[in-house]
Amino acid sequence: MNVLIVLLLAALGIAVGYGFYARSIDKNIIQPDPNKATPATMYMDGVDFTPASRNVLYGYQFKSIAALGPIVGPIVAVRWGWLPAILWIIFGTFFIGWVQDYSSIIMGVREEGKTFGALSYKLISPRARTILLIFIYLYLLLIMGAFGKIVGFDLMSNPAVPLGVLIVLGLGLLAGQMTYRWKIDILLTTVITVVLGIVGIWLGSLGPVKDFFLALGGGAESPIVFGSVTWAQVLWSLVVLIICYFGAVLPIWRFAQPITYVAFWLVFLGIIGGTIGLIVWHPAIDVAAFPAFTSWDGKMGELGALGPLWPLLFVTIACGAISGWHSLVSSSGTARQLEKEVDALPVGGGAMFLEMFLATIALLTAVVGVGGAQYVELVGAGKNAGVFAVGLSNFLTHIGIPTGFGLPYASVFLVLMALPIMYLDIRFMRVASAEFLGDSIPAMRNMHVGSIVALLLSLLLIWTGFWSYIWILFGSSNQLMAALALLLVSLWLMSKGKNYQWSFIPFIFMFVTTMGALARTSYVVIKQAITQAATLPSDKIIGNYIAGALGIVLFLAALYLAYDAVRAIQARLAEGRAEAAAD
Amino acid sequence: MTPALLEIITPMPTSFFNCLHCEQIFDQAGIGQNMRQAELERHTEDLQEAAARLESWLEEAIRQHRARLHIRIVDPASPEGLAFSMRYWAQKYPTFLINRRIKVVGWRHDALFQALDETVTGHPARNTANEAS
Repeated sequence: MNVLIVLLLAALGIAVGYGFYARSIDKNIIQPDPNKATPATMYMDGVDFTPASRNVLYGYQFKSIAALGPIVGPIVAVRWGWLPAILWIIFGTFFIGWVQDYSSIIMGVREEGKTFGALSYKLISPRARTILLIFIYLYLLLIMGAFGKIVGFDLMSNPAVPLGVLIVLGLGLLAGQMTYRWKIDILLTTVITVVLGIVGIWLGSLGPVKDFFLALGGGAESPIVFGSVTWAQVLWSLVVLIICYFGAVLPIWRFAQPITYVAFWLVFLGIIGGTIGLIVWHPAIDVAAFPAFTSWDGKMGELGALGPLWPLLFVTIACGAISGWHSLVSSSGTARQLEKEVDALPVGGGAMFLEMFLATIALLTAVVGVGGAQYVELVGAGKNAGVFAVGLSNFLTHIGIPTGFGLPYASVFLVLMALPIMYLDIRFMRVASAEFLGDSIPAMRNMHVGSIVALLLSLLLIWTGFWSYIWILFGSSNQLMAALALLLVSLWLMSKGKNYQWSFIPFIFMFVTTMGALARTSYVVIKQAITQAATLPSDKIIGNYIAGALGIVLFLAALYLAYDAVRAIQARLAEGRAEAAAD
Repeated sequence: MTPALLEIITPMPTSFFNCLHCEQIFDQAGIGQNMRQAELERHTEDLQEAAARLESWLEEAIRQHRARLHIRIVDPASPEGLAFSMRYWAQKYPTFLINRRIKVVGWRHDALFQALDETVTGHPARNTANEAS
């Protein structure tokens, strides 16, 4: 099968899903009123509540929902074969993904822009808000663990990558200085920093530079420092966390903002180049080398089993099919900026369908950009992100960019996508600890102490455990938020006397699936830590206990939520019966 | 009557908004405003002074023209800002654009308010305010 057919199928999913199913629900059930005032126009304050055109809002929504998730998830999930993965991406978006994003916006708009936490408090129970905050904290910690392993253990350990990353970071600092101190115009600043960034990545790919960084990381066979962690992994994960430390404590204008700006252009150029390369190349999928379906337990070649297709596939690919994260963006961010109710579908639904397309491209980097044999080799070596880097660099070769440059470029590209999220994550954790622990532990008010505590917690997760389990827990915490969002929407539709099946059935599916994934993962990691204590390295035993504990906390929180939700539904139905009797 | 559109290309003391994922977390946890305020106070003094001056000018413009004026600020250090800076060749900040036809570069109070008056009242504005002061 040619990749153009896969892209065409994805486009067909968009045409039917958006053009028919989504429009039908929008028109017949939600019935948006173009003349009805939205919170953005009623409470305009120029900060949170600001009406924005649907085009601007579409960009905002897409930038908010798309990060590493839609790229890494599909690359991991193709271990069950590319067909289940692509089917879940297309049908997940078709029946669940857009439903959640769109209905969260509509609910936010019609509930005067209330936050997700406030809506949980109102529609389910006071405890639901606390559960939501627990999800958010664990989600952040799991982001640090999953991304920290990808960047520190996988990408930066490649000796062709560190110099490029360090140069781009330096150029980000230069961009901040040029913009805010020297008042140099943005065009010149952009040209200088982006061009030098590309030159820096090229310099990093030169032989002597690679030799230097290889030696720094302990050579081709980096020595083990503890458990199964090598010196190169210790070194580069520490470097990454030092970068996060600066990102967390330096003023935004000095570090985070200009670095993100320079990184944006390098990432943007990579996406455009890769997509053009794929279309120019348009190879056929070699189904002998990369099967459409491998096995029910995700065993591919020499790679061990990942676990049962249900429920794990559905949490492994979160963003790209359905992600609870989007509901937070939609309900309190986008809903407060929607100028007209009729814009909810093109903004919320439209951005989700575009993300589906991005996930499809990411999947193809593994399936055709890398191919079956090399995929097994890379994933077997723990280089999940390396799959995307190799695939993207192969796409780039078809527009004349050699692999010698394309590969480090694609690796730097991924680091630059992950780093801003990581250092702002640490920034959040330090502020949160100051807010919530500052009274009882005054030292936590110190920004350096708060940041270091957050970094140490992250380091514990990065240095221990198996990446695939952390990724599944990260996906599960995300999908639990999706279940919560779909539940809220269903309760809200019930309270308005509208058809709620289109959100309630997806809620049941997401809830049961996520609980299954959490229960299974917690059981497996704890069992593995107990039964294989003699053979597993010490870091993996500690990591498994931590992962198991996180999974159990999430599972219990979701049970509480389900209990409160059932009571809320019963109350809602009783109200309906009472009203019917009164009539 | 269609309101006049005043767009200002200028660096502003932004607090976050470059990681929209993070923004949502801060808000959901109820600590967004404190973080933003703390970040705003860490900007350079000249940027804060420029922001305060711009704020007073905009308040004056809104007082004079009320609903007949729409205002939008574009940060040059953003993809949209770069596109704007290239399209209108804004090399010094702030650059004021009125209806995307009249450009006033720099802190030229009288030139800006005269051009605004002429645009809002419907009299054709002389395009004499193009050069930086």
